[in-house]
Amino acid sequence: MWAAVALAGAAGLAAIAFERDEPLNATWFIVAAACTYLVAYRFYSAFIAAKVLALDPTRATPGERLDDGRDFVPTNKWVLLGHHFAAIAGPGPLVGPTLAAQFGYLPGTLWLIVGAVLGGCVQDFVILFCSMRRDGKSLGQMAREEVSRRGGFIAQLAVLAIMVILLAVVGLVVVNALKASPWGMFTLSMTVPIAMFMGVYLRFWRPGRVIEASAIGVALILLDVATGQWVANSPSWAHAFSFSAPGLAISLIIYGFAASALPVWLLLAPRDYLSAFIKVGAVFALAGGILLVRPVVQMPALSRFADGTGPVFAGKIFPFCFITIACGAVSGFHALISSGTSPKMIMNEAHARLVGYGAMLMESFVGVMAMVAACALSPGVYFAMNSPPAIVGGTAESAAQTISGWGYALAPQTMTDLAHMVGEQTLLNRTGGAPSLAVGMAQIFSHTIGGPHLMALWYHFAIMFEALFILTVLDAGTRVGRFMVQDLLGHVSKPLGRAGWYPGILFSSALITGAWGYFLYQGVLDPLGGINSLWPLFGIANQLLAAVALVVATTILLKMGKRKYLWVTLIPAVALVTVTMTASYEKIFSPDPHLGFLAAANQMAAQIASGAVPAGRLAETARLIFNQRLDAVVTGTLALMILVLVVEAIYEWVRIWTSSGAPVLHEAPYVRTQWQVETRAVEGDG
Amino acid sequence: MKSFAVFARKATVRYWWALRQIFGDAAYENYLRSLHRAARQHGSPITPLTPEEFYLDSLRRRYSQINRCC
Repeated sequence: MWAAVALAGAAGLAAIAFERDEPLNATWFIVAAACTYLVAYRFYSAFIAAKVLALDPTRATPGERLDDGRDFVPTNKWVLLGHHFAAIAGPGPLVGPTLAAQFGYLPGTLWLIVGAVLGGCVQDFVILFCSMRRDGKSLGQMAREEVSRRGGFIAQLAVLAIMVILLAVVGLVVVNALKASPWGMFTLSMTVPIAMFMGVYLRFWRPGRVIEASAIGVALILLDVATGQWVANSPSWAHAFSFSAPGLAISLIIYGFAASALPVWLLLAPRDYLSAFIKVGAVFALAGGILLVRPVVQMPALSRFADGTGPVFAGKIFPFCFITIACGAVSGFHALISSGTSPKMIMNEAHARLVGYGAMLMESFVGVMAMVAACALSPGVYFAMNSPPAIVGGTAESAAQTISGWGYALAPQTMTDLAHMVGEQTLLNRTGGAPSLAVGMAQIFSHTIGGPHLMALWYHFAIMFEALFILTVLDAGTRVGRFMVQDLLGHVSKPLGRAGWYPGILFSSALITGAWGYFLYQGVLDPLGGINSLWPLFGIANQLLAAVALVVATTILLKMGKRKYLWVTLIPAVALVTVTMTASYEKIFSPDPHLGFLAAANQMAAQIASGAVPAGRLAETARLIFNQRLDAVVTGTLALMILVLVVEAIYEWVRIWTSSGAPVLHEAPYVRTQWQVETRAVEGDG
Repeated sequence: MKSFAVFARKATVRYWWALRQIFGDAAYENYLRSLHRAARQHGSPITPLTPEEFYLDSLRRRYSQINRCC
């Protein structure tokens, strides 16, 4: 049977890679991905579980030994798989593949499948295992104990940096999706009072009844999406809910500050529940829709922008496809989840395989579906939506002319009609990936239910779904960032570090919100749309964190005496270090002003010096120059941090390799489980 | 027909159980169970948190660390 599955997967991959004569059906993507995942799970993850990690079902997990019903809670493996998947799957696997579709469907799809199987899943699984063997210690703590103190500090700094850039970039995605969109803005605004109602319900009326409150919340949200159409059609209401991009950015910054400082039960937690419900529902609906509709992929396998001149973001396939798609293939952020709550909830060591490796396969599948939805759009529409006005112009005519000149046919009327169909004033220059994904999803959903009449409703449902869980990331991320800042400030001033001291809360909330708010506002003002510079920066930061995680994992494997199997984590670590270093170098030093931060700054400086910039735009241009140089410094600092960690790790590896004594491994001691040991072998579990 | 009804009922019960576990509805019951198990093992009396206290405590714990990815 497994030979048949492998053959089907190979046929799917071959169709994706080599079919050029006829339009490709999305079914091939599903077959290729699903079969590869099944084979990888059955054989590669079993190999890692049995040979590399030697999972021991007789060993009591921290969930069993330290069970307190609060942090340490032994949990059924399928339930934990659901928890873990809900925690790792955010907007990244949807937005990244949509942006990477500018190269065509082939590079992104292959990276999603291969990157996940050999890199992302391995990272999640091994870090989950390492943390589980250390009573649920975080990645930073493990780096400090197993690599070096400096390594731990670098990991913590990298986490803070990635948080700031992540929050800015997801904020920018929301801004670009909702600017001048009264329907979308109304829908999202209403989620705040709905979440607050749920918060009060859960806090005072029915404590802990999450499903009940969420069901009410979801019903209200669906009503809210439908009501948005009426708002958009009413001139006075439409005016009230129409925001410019800078106005929306400022609103988001204020919102982020409030959400971080307000009691968590009032807004953050209920929004998270709502978001989780809608996320799971929408992802399953998208999967079902693709299977039912089986759309034809209209994007070519390789677009002309494989040469690095793309309008969505600059740079060639290597390294930028691997940077753009982080979540869905390899995401360093997952290492934080795998060394967070999940290791404390594992009931049996053997379950780490399903939770760590399996959940990441599911996320990768979400990424493949996002790629299909984006590539099901006609390339002309895709580029009109995802290109900034500085490249394709701000009118349907100029966009159609430019994009048709690239060889992707687009009539001006197409964009106008499409905007009308989805109930928007315009769909041009909607950079960030969310709106084009929403159009792709709406096309798939409307083919399943309702036909073209429901296209506008489905589009705004998809926008609401994306924006809702992006805002959840923003809320939760700002709050966690606040704790990190308070932690750091505590070294300077004790009261500022106290979690319960309100001035300290406000001050640290302002600091973290100001940090990501600055990058968000910078992105909004960027003439190239912001995504062009911020998304690669986010990708670099995220992949650097993945490299940190894999370097820590390699060190631990070496200490465990698994020299023969070091390649399992070492190969993805080397690949990621190569990718991130190349991308960092190109983003800083490339002479192409569309790609290199310094080249862009120098070009603008030269324009000022030659008098080409009008007096009224001097201050704005000076600010853009500063922002480009700041981005270069941030990228350089991140790259330098990983280099230091890699050098520290290599030093440690050489020391272990040449030392005759046994290296110190900071694992919790073996305790035999008191529960009935599962009789199934590790290889067959799951 | 009867066996199908039994199967459907069992499947629904199982699904509802999983849903409650995944979304946290059953967290308080799990906590009480853990507490009673610990009390049985150690023989010490316990004073459990009320549902409201437990709910607020679990939120505080969950949202003071990274619990959502990008």
